[in-house]
Amino acid sequence: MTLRHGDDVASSVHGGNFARETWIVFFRQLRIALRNPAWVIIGLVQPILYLGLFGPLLEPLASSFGTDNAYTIFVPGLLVQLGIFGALFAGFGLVAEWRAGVIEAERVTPASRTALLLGRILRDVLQLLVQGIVLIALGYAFGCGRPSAGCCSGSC
Amino acid sequence: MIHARGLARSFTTKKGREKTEVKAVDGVDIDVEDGEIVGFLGPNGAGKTTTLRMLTTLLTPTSGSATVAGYDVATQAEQVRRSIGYVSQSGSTLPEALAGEEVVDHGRLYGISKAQAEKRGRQLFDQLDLDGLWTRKPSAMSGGQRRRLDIAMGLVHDPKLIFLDEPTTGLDPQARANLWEHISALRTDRGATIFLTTHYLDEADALCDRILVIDHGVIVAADTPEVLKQSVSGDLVELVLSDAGDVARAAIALAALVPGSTADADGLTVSMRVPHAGRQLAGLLRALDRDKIALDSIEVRRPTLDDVFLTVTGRSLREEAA
Repeated sequence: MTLRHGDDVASSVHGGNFARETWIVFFRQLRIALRNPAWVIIGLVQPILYLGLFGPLLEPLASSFGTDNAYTIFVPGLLVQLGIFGALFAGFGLVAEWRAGVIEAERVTPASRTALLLGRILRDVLQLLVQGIVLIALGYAFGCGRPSAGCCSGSC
Repeated sequence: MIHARGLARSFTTKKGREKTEVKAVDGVDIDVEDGEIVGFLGPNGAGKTTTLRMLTTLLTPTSGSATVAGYDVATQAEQVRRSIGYVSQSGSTLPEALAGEEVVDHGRLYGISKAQAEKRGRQLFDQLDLDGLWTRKPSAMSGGQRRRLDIAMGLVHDPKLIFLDEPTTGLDPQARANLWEHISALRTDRGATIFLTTHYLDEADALCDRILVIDHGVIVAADTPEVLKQSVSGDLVELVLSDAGDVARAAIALAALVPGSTADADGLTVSMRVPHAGRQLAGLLRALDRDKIALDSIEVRRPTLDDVFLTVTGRSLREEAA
């Protein structure tokens, strides 16, 4: 372990290399993900479906939370859920790549091992960001952005 | 190219509270010179892959040292990785990615520019009979094509030393023979040094200049295939009789070929090792004919590496390690 660690430090000393390697891994992940439109569509539609299908069910409860718009609670709730599940599933793609031998093959390259991991995580971060933006935009559409303006800050 | 001394790796396995130490590789010395094709032969679990993973810096040795391509695997791991190509047992591409892009990305991780990686990649696809598969997904390739794609991945940075871990496992005989040609071509075309592991004897025999036999983490024999095969005393002569009553007499006739030896009888089969069996065969047949012993079949087998393995380890390579 100490060896591997020292190694990463050595290659990140080259500065630009680390960013370049991270970018290569990130871009590869992104390209593979975008090539499978089914998952892209599912990822984007899921928050919309949650909002559209479960939102109305919460309407009767809204008054008990002291608001007249259930979405002011539901949208931030979904954002939290997205964050938790996004983090939980971040390692999932890694398992498939491990099985296919991709990780091992990349670990034999001189690339920094931290970069190999960071590039993959950044892709998950990007996915979360896009889903979060979609949610927030929809939240506005459902009337969250009005006076209390609390749907993002979580004050509601 | 490779010099290893006393290389060892042990794993601790926990069974309840009891910790047991398993010595996967127990002090091996390896020397591989430039331009050699060396085979690392042994049954499953003998320590082949563990040794390979140590030499490719994927695993830290518990003890011992090794220099690969002039660099120490423990302290100069990055330089080692830069100089070697490694084709693992499990493949190296994601089934749903595009073959060409995987090769280019892999090359770029070695610090090669995108344009150069693509040029190299296309050259390799051409050499490895993968032309037209640049935009195909590995999941839509045949086993042999996928294997060659893995090799292309390992060669994209033009390494002088290539490690192949069981390159032909799971391929049909035709694809294997084809891959052998490509592997030998790596040396003739690029002057590469190749270190490969296999548990197929015919593969080691067909490809390698030198063979290291490993068993239970220890190298038990190391030499050229020819010398190893000569260490087995003689060819195997095997008679299958049509009448069980003749077995004893046939055994005597066969044993008469080599003074002081006895033939093994097993059911209707009588067998024995005979040096230079070809010269003795005519006499044996005449003797059997004279004794009116009827044969179902007669077979003479040159020593194979399987016999070598049996001689040096006391068990057959095909029996899975206990």
